[in-house]
This record gives sequence, C-alpha cells and structure tokens, in this order.
Amino acid sequence: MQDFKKQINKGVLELSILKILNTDDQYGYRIIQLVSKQSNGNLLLKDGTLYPILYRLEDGKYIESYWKTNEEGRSKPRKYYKITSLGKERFESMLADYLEINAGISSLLKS
Amino acid sequence: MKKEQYIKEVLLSLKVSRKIKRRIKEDLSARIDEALDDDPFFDIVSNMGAPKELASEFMENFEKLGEVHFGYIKPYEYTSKATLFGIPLLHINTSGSSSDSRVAKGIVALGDISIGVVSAGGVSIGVLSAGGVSLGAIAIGGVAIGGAAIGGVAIGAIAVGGVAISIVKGFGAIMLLLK
Repeated sequence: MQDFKKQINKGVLELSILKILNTDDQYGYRIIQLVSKQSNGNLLLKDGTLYPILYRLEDGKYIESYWKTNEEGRSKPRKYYKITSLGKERFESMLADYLEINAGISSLLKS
Repeated sequence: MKKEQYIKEVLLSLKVSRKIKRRIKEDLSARIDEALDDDPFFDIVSNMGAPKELASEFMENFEKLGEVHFGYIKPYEYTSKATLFGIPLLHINTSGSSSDSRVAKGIVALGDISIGVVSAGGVSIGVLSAGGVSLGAIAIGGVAIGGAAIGGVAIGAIAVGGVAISIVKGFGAIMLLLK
C-alpha cells in the first residue's frame, strides 16, 4: 500500500507545487511546509523530490527563480520560485486533467 | 556534521552532471539556511534524511523525470543475436548512473565488469583486455596484469608501466624483475 501511495503522491506533486506558486512566490523549504499543511499532512514532499521537479519546471520556463536578500533582517538570501504565464497555463491544463481523472475514478469506485 | 559536510556527502553519492551537482549544492545550502530560521541543524538533517538516503531519492526522481536532461545515464545492455559456441559475439552491459555494477560476457565484451576474448571495462578480463583493472594475455589498464601488460602498474611476463613488475622484461620508471 505504501508503494501505491508513493506513486499517487509523485503524480500530483507537480500539480501541488504549481498550485502553491500560482498563489504566491515561495522558497523551497516553504513549499515543502505548504504542501504538507495545505494537504492536511496527506502529501509528503521531500527535498529529493522537490528539487528535481523544480529544475524541470524551471528549465521548461514554467517557473523562474530569483534571490531575495535583506528579507526580515536575514543575513542570508532566500531563493524564491515564481510561476510564469506559461506555468499558469500548464497549471490550468494539469488541473483540468486531474479533475477529469478524479471524477472518472470516483464514479468508477462508486459504481 | 556541518552543513557543508552534509551537502558534500550528498553530492558524492549523486551520479549526475557537474552542472546539476552545482545546482543541487546551491539549493541544498539555501534550503538548510531557510530552515535554520525554525529549527536546529540536527533536526533539519533528520528530516531531510541521511546523505545517501537523500541522494538516492534525488536519483530516483532524476531517473523518472528525464535522464538526459539531468545528466543521468540509463543502464544499457545489448546482446548480439550472433553467437559463437553459444557465446554472444558482442555483449555490452553498463550500469550508467545507477550504483550497481553490471557484467558483460561475450566474444567482445564491454561493461562495468567485462569478460571476453576482447574485453574492455572498469574491471576487464580477456585475451585482449583493457580497463581500469585489466587481466589478460595482453592487458592494458590502470592496473594491468597479463602476459604482456601495459599500465600505470603493470605486472606480467613483459611489463611496461609507471611501475613495471616483470618476469622476462620490464620497462618503467620503477622496475622489478622477478626471476
């Protein structure tokens, strides 16, 4: 069962990351926290999964990164990720696909 | 363990391009700094996992997301249909970026570990053998052992190398003739 959950997790994590960035720019550690918090702890995003997804999204021009310095008196800068217009399109498309699949599965399981 | 040491150990276990390693190094450093606002370093690395564990998760995801893009090299195996005495004429078996070592066995064998008449690989055994460590009638390699051996360290009847240990004739910066 653990394998099944892991597979499902991986499929929806990119969508979850885009959803979070579609709301606001975020840095890596905060994305991990928000995925856990906003999914009521049901989705677990680890660093080894987060960064490869971010790299692919960034290289595909779906997101951009930038450094923010002198934030809240921090001496060290944070690396923020920002969704692009192409990323917003991807998010909308992925969300539509996800909802369609989800509706189909729900219907199938209830039948 | 300090932050730099932790990241170094993660990077050591990653088999990806230098470019990706630089990216990961930068991001892990920033990520740990970001978390240090909330938690002590020990707790952060406990959550992130042991360096090898984290590296393994990175590799698993790189493999899933696209090997070429991330400098990940897929394992590769090719066995020729043509055989000689039941042995493939050509067998190539390489592990690529994965951590296991694969064995190639053929008349011509190329692999992490290769065994063949003509053989090349990390560890190579053959009549004509070339590799990091090679053993053969004619052996060429970092460490070469054979009838005729050419290598950084060459051990053979005839040995040519930085260090040459020979029975018949040796040529090298350091020579030892065994008789």
